[in-house]
Amino acid sequence: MKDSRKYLVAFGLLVISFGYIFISNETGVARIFVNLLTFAGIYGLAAIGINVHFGWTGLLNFGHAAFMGIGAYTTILLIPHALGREGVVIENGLPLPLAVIIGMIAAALLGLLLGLPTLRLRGDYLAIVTIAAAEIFRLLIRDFEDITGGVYGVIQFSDALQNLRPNFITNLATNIEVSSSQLWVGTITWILIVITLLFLNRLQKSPWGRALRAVREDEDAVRALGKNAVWLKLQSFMLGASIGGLSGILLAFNYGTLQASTFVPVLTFYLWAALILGGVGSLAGPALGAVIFWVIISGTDSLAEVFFENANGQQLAGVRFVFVGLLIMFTMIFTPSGILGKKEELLLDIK
Amino acid sequence: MISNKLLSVNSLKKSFGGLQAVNVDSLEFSNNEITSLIGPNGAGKTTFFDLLTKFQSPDHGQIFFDGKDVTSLQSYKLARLGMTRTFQLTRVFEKMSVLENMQFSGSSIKNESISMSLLKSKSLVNFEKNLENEVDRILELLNLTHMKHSYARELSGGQKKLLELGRALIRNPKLLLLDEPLAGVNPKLAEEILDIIKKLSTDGINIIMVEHNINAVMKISERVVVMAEGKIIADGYPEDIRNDKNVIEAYLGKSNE
Repeated sequence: MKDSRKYLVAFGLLVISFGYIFISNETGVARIFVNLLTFAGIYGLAAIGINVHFGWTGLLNFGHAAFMGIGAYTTILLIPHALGREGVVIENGLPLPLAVIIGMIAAALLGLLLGLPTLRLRGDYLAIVTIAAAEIFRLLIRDFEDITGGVYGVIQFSDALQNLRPNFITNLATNIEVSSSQLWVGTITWILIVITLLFLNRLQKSPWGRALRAVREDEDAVRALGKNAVWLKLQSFMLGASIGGLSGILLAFNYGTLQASTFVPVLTFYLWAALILGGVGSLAGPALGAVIFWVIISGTDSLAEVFFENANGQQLAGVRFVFVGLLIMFTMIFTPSGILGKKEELLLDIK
Repeated sequence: MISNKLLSVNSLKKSFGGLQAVNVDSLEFSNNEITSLIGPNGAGKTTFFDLLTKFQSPDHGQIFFDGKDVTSLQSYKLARLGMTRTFQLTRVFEKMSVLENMQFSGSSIKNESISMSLLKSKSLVNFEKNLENEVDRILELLNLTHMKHSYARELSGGQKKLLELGRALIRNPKLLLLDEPLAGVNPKLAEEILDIIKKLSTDGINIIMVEHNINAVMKISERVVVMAEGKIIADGYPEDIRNDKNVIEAYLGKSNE
């Protein structure tokens, strides 16, 4: 597909999805949109991290939830918060920007820790290790109640971000009747996506980005040409992990509470779904894929009700994922490289 | 004992299970030579190549390159010292353009760091510009100029061999190890590749190649080393090798008198 046509398709899909949500909801459309776009942005940012791993370097990371989780927990526990069953209040903390940077570094270090023993091996081992590590991480978070709040989680940390909210966001939120705190999180998320994409765009076109693509294609050839493939993979792994960490922090602020159960394996697979829909290896693809994924998640209830009249909420929730599955199937059949992916650089070898 | 030869090995051994794949007592390669390594299938030639380039580690023995003991060096570090190899099954970066294949190979390690790449300093931009000129020069030599912006996977089998050769050349290697550079290449292109190899040798690049095309080997080699069952069974001038009893036996089997 030509580039212009690709973007036209992407634009068309967005118009159709938004239009659908607009007409299928009589009240509270603005609220639905803000919610959808905030979640989509956070998932999109996380999927951009996976894209650096898989799309750029060919690394199969199935444990992205752990990177999101360690970023979120590190940052949130460093700022003022309340913790655990009794809600022990901890009033002192670092300033938010510093805590965010430390959170991203923590995610990168977890990437280093997982990558060092596994990146010397072939791709599949990394997939196995990451999925297991993510579960270990989640269970540790759940069991170390003294530090992480355990199943009761962490609360009352949102002020650190919401105190920074400018007045015009608050006014806008009041005017369009949406949650001002979510509007603020969503705005920050999309600003961070733009910054991240600008940053990655520069890297993708650089000698470093070129080297990663070479690693993706053939590691042995890379080594034969005097390049340290393992180190390149580690760098990519750490960069993608820190982007995941950033998205995890945003996810925590969006929920307003932080719990281990947020970072279940299925979160990682939602991100993969978004990545595959949007286009592996393309720059903006993961963000677009995440938007479409969330349109389906939040927009199919009413559609499902048409087909299944007597279904309850839980059953309807299942139907959403039938739609996600169908959409991924159609994507694979008609445009296997995803909506914005390059056919010539198709990574999922489906003919 | 450190030899002053370009490359030398000392009782190099490698076995897989019960199979002794490589068992070379001592072998030296001097400067300014085209050496061919021949032998029947399964003689251990490619394994020997893998050991020389550290793509596999020897069970026993030492390797010296350019006056240094490189036995425990990782393959990419060895490549940085000026030893570059190609592969029996061509390994170009299929989903990158011909230009990118070459640029990647020739780019400096320093520029490839994430921080330098982000800063995009003037020296990096200049380096990349000079690099592209160098790429153009080599593609011209290899007759690949018209494919510069194509994806590498669009090349024919022979052109991929050329690209792999070019990718090695842009690194200005001291020693080039070619694993079957003529395999699957049509006769006309094979001639071209041979001419290029000869030219590289005159330009001062040392070449060791594994090749099955005996005519080609005899035509361009200054020295032929014959392997069979992991051992060196003959080593000498091409014309001597042609009449060597051991070599004929290794290829055709022992005659029953």
